[in-house]
Amino acid sequence: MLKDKAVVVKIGGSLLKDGKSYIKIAEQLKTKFSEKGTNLIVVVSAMKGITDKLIEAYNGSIGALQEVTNKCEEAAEHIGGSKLKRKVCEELIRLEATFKLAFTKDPIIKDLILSYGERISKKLLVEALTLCGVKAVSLDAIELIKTDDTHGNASIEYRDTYKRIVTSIPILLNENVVPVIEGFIGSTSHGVITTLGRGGSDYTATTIAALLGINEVYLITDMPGIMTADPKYVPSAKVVSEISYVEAIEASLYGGKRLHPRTFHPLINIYSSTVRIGSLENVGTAIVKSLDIAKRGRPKLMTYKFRLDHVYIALIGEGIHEHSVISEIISYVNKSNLNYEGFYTFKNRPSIVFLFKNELLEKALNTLHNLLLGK
Amino acid sequence: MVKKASIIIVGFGSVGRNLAKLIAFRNKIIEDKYDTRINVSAILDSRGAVMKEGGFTPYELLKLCELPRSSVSSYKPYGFPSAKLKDVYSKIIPDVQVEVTPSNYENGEPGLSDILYALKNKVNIVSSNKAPFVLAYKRLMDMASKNNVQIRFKATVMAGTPLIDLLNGLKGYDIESVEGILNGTTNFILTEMHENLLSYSEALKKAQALGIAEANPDLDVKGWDPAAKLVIISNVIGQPIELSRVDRDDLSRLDIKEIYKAIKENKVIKFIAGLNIKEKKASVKLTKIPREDILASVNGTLNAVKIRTDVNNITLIGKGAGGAETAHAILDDLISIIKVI
Repeated sequence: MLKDKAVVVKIGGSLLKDGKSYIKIAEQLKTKFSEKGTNLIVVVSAMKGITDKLIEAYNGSIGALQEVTNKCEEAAEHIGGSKLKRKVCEELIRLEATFKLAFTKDPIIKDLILSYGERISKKLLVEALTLCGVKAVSLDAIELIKTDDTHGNASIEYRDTYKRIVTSIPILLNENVVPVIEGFIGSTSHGVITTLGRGGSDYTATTIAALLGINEVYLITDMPGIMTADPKYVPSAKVVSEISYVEAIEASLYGGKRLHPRTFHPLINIYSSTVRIGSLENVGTAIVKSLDIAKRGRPKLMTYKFRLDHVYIALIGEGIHEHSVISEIISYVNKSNLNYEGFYTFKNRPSIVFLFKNELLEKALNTLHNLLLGK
Repeated sequence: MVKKASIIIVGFGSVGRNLAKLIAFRNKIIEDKYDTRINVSAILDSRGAVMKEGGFTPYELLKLCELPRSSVSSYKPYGFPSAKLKDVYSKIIPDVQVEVTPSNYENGEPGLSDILYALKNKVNIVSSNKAPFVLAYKRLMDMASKNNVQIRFKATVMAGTPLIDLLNGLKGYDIESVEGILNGTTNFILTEMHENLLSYSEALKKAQALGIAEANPDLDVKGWDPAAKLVIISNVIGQPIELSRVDRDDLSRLDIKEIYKAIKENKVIKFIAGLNIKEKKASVKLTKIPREDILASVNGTLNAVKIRTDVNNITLIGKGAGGAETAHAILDDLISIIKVI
């Protein structure tokens, strides 16, 4: 069966720095998946930093546009020589023509400009895969991923998208071909290009998996997985091996890995694939629909965000809002001499949130981590 | 028993590529539904050809679509740089030749010669190129019937919306007039001018950025494209009018002030293509129409026509000539031909 043999793999922009990194990723995709007989569907993000540069270009910076051009041309030449460079230049010329329109400050034009980041990245990855001996072809998200017309933050129309991907992707998988499609972009029923919002590639990947009933979605980044705490402040932070959809959603609300808010929407509403997050060397975290009872009722990770002059540190875990768990956590924290300003929790939400003065962030994270997540 | 049909695609721009993708993905569905299998055995562009007897696989068709313009012949091992149509015919005589080269109203080339060559070789034709039909309709039809082959061209007018089929189904009627919006590009520009109050040149640039207008928009904005469609319609109805006799306005001369004026009068300016059969007159005119007129609400790249007959008025609204819509119309013609050969 297709859905047992196939996986969706999203390659995040943090890994795509230059021509060399595309070839490295292509090699890894080949050894980790293709050579093991797994059918791959690849969703690709823009090259690192390119989306930000394109936003600057939309806001009028010729310099930013030039940087995009240089970076893309360099990568294309490194991967596929003059032939690939020509293909990429065809896109860059169109991008430049669009740039000249940016004066109109039109969200349609903004999405059009941003879409080139993924469109060019896809060409680079297809060529890199081909060089590694993988039969890869590009599919166009603009043709296959249909959305509403909320430019800049569009929602995928599942029915229209289903009709298109079910008549294209399986045909390629049956021929053992690897389809590569852009994340983050789509188009309206009139064919006007839209973007799905920051991190939208995750949403593209989970949508494709859910619509085709594929069991595994890999979201590949430069981290080994979701961490128990921000390793920038907490040296003893570890990878969390398993969390649930609701825990992942809660974590991203409090500044955790920036997953797109609708990443889990298709998984909750259509088909519950397992999401695996990590690097290609080590995919450390699985995000599943529901947890064993034994894995509930304790914090699994902590995230934080700043708001006004406080930092909000959230301890996250399903079942944590139950009275017995709350009182246990509070008593631990009280014994630690950590000076918190307050805490809150909501019924049926998988978190308890402590408020600290900003300057206490590092100390608070480490103390809480040692107390509650260290083992 | 599945009927296999070998086709060649002449021209590999947006329409040709959309068609190749469509065939790659829909062949299985077509086979299940119609017991016919379409094999693309050759594709030509301005610099050469690719050929594969037995037809390209979906994977190969998609790889061909990834190539830069005018470079199909670089596809190894099937490419033949600088090969021409006759070189392809020396190896492969197809069942159908699909002509999707761009329209050239000066002399119809290269489409006209391509089509004549196919007809001489008793090969069926499907075309989205308008020019040969505008300039030599009768000659092509006569030659097709003399050689006992099919020639179909519904992608030339309103592509995604089957106007030609509809007109062919009105043989017992007296068609008095056909009028409407037959060009998506200019309708998009006008919609932008009305809704976002953009000047003509701003709206044109936006259309170009969105891939709706060509780099050189003259065929659309100077009314050649809708005029050509009127000529084809007049031929299908059997009351031919020549292209030079179609009276055309130039959209690029439209001042935004005219739009303001129209809005104040509760009217809308549309680029209306009209064919009056009785008076043997055809025109493509910037026309102020009342907001209540159904054509006033046809916006963006949509097309629409009103057909007036002695007994009935018919209105048809739908998508016009986008790459995907045109490819679907061609596929439809292909299936119709393959079913009867």
